[in-house]
Amino acid sequence: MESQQRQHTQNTSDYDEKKEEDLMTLKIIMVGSMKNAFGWKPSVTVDVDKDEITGEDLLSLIGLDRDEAKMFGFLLVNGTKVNREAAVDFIIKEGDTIKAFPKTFGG
Amino acid sequence: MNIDRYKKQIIFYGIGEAGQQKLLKSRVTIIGMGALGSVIANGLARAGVGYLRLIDRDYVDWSNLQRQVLFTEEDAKENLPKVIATKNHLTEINSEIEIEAISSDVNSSNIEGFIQDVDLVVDGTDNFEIRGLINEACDKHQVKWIYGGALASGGATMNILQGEETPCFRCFMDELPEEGTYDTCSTVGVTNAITGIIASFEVSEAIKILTDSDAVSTQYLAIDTYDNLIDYIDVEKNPNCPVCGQKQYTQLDSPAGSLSTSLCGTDSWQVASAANKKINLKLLAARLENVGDVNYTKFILSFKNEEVSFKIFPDGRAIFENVRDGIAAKTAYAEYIGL
Ligand SMILES: [Zn+2]
Repeated sequence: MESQQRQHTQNTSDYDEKKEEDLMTLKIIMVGSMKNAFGWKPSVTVDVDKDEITGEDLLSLIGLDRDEAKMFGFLLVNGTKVNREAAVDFIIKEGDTIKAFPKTFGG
Repeated sequence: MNIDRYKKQIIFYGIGEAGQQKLLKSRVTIIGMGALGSVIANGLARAGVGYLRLIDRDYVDWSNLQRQVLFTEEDAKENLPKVIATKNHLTEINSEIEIEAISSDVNSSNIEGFIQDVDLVVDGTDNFEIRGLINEACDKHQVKWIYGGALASGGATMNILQGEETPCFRCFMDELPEEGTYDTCSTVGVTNAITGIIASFEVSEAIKILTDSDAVSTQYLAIDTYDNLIDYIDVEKNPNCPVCGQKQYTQLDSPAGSLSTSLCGTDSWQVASAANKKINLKLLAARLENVGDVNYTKFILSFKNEEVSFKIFPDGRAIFENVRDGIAAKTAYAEYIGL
């Protein structure tokens, strides 16, 4: 997981070696209390390799690992619900509209 | 009966005279009479749903008045059971419908009696243990129900229609939340706009379902009012769903499916989870530190704020100090720790 993060995050030495055209910027919009995991920021932006990145890679990259982020419910990618299981081989592309939803809402 | 009271919705093309007659003959159970439930009960009573069964275990307090629209300062001073306060106010609004107020916990031993003789169940609850139970009981008896939830500035709602092609709540939520890992309105708050909006959608869907409208929503609707987000999301029926697919009613069949309480010392109540779930005290501490004083070790977490004081152990057992009774302890457990 750690090495994957290194590979994709912009604050690493890898970044300097990458040409800008090899990178794409992904914005993940946090819905409802999902924002709480990010200091109530409405979205998180990451620069990643244009190579294949899966939903699961992206979740790990922004700190929503399966073992830690129990409150995470599912991704919505271009309007399609992508749960944890499906995220494993769901390929994220440049320009995708990505939202992250919490598992629960109270009442 | 004064039918004039309904004339503005009878003129509305979606309801009409025939729809109004269906509403007057309809029977609905609303579980939970807090922020969502009070708006739902208000809407359905005013619309003329003929029979409403209201169930909640809680009492009105001052922190409810910000969003639980039917309650008054007088109700909070008297610390009335929420269902009694609701019935009192709704009877002044519409004395021509029947309202049954049940001040009770909802658990695996009594839920079937609350839901099997009605046309629809509407969710005004605040925790996932009860929603799982509603889903199982409604699947078993093939009663339609409407899920609704709200937290911070976000909320969601979805109809569970019991059709061959339509998903249940468990189809949507493939992994159940673990105790102590998610936020509640006591830890991150909730705005009265989002509870009102979600509950109003539940009322609108309830009226459509009860009047056999062909415009009933089959999607999951999620809204965040602070970041201006609205999403209608398709949910697939899961053919392997343990509830609607395999008819495994784990929560319903568990005799002690809910939290149990016991008096321990003077004014202290112990709440234990029958499921013996493991609580991650570190994650729980991170969630609670904004709303009170938290101390924790590997073995125990202590929490205290103006409202409540408790200790919780990794096996999910918690001891609440200075609470009125076991029901108040359970309510605090649901609010601060989660179910
Ligand atoms: Zn299902």
